[in-house]
Amino acid sequence: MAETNSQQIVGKLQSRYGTYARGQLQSQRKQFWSYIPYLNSSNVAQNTYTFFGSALGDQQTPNLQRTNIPVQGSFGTSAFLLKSIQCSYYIPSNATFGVDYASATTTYATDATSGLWPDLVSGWAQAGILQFSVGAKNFVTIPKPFLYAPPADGRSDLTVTRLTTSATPTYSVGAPEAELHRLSEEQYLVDPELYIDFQENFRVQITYPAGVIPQIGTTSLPATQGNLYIGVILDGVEFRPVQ
Amino acid sequence: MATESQQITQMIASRYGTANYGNLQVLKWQYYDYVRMTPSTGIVSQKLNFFSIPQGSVDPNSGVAKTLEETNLDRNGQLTYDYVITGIRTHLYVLPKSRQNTVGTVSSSTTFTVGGVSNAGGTGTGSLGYAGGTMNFLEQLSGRGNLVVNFGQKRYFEVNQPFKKCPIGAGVTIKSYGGGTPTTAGVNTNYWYSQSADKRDAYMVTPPLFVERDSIIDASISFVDTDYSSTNYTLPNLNSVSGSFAFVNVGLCFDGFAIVPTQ
Repeated sequence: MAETNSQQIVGKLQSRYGTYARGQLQSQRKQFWSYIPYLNSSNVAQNTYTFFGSALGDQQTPNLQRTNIPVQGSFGTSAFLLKSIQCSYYIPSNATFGVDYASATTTYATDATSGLWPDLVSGWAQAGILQFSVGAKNFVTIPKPFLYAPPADGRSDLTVTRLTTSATPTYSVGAPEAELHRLSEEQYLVDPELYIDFQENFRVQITYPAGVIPQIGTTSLPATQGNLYIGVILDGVEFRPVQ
Repeated sequence: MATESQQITQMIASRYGTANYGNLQVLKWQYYDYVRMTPSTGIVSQKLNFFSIPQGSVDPNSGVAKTLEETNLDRNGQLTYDYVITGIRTHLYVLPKSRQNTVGTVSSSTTFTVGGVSNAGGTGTGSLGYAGGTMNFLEQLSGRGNLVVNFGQKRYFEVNQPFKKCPIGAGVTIKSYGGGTPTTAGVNTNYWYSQSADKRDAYMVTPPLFVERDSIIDASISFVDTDYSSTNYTLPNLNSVSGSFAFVNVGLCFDGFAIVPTQ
């Protein structure tokens, strides 16, 4: 990308007095991630989620758990070769992943409303569109991104068994458990890769144009005590100036 | 192949246009199109046509205008970019709960997605997984059908049992499935159907097929065997209300590379 005169002048000053060696780059594997709450402050699902729209330290993304993007919608002083896109999520630590059988309000009949199971098999994970744009041009469109571009991160398992309380306990495998794909070979590979230059603006959005998908799990996924966070991970190679 | 007027337009575009057709770029891309499997009768259409209705136009089965979630087709029966097809996937899936049928309050049923029926028989309200229910129906359907894809007047793909041969190769991993609404004591049996979620099972197009953006696509999945009848191809109801079947979408996805002009 051609530099403006002012950029060239700044570059010259930088090469003489700057804190890094302009023009000399080092490369490393890097993941940039951005997680945002699925529900807004009114506990309502949205039809547009914009990732990497706020930088580390901003009000929406105050810590490294939420994002590590240095600049809003840009890789800042680094360039990035995008090789893979992953969609993921996490839930609050006080939520129950599956059905909370200990809860008095959760019974054998309500596995379709409690826990994360219904959201994964019949909720937000089964819909949506991911679009990755650089400037005004769309470079990636993925339907049902949580299925087509899963985390593929070797995530852990939670296996459940259940015994009824009676004189003769009955073994049951009826506790539902589902997860997004974990195998690395299920990754959505950006092939050929996409190169995003220094300071170039990009945008990642997941939208639900056919209609908002409300969160289904309510009993053991307490929106009032935490939130379900959905995220996008950009995996690739970072090029940054040598210091 | 471009007509004379298209060639003239392209010449003007190359000189004054916003896109540079002399400088092309290859992007990983997929063209996809989802259609509703049944109209309001709940009877599976004998022929499901794909890539014929672009975004903004109404799917005749669902009666709802298509959005980017259903298709990224911009033009009726034509791709936007020159395209290289390297793989074909189909997707047979039950719509998310909030987009479900309102008949029989399926979309608000607290037991949607679960099974739940005793040996004595009978359906659990809103359940998909009882014997003879939606999940069993989809499993039976996945053993039927023929995918046919023509470009122009020429046939390029014929696949038997496309839901099995060309699976989506994506999805959630279900470790266990249970719950339900047992109405009587005893053993309760639930079923769950899903296509292969393994990417390695996807149907690869080898050698790849190059499709020019002006080629006319004619793609369909048909159920042409002698067993096709309204009795055999009607989605089961989820409760006692007539027409309370689950909404099911069928998708056809071409994986490959789009050849796009630089801007």
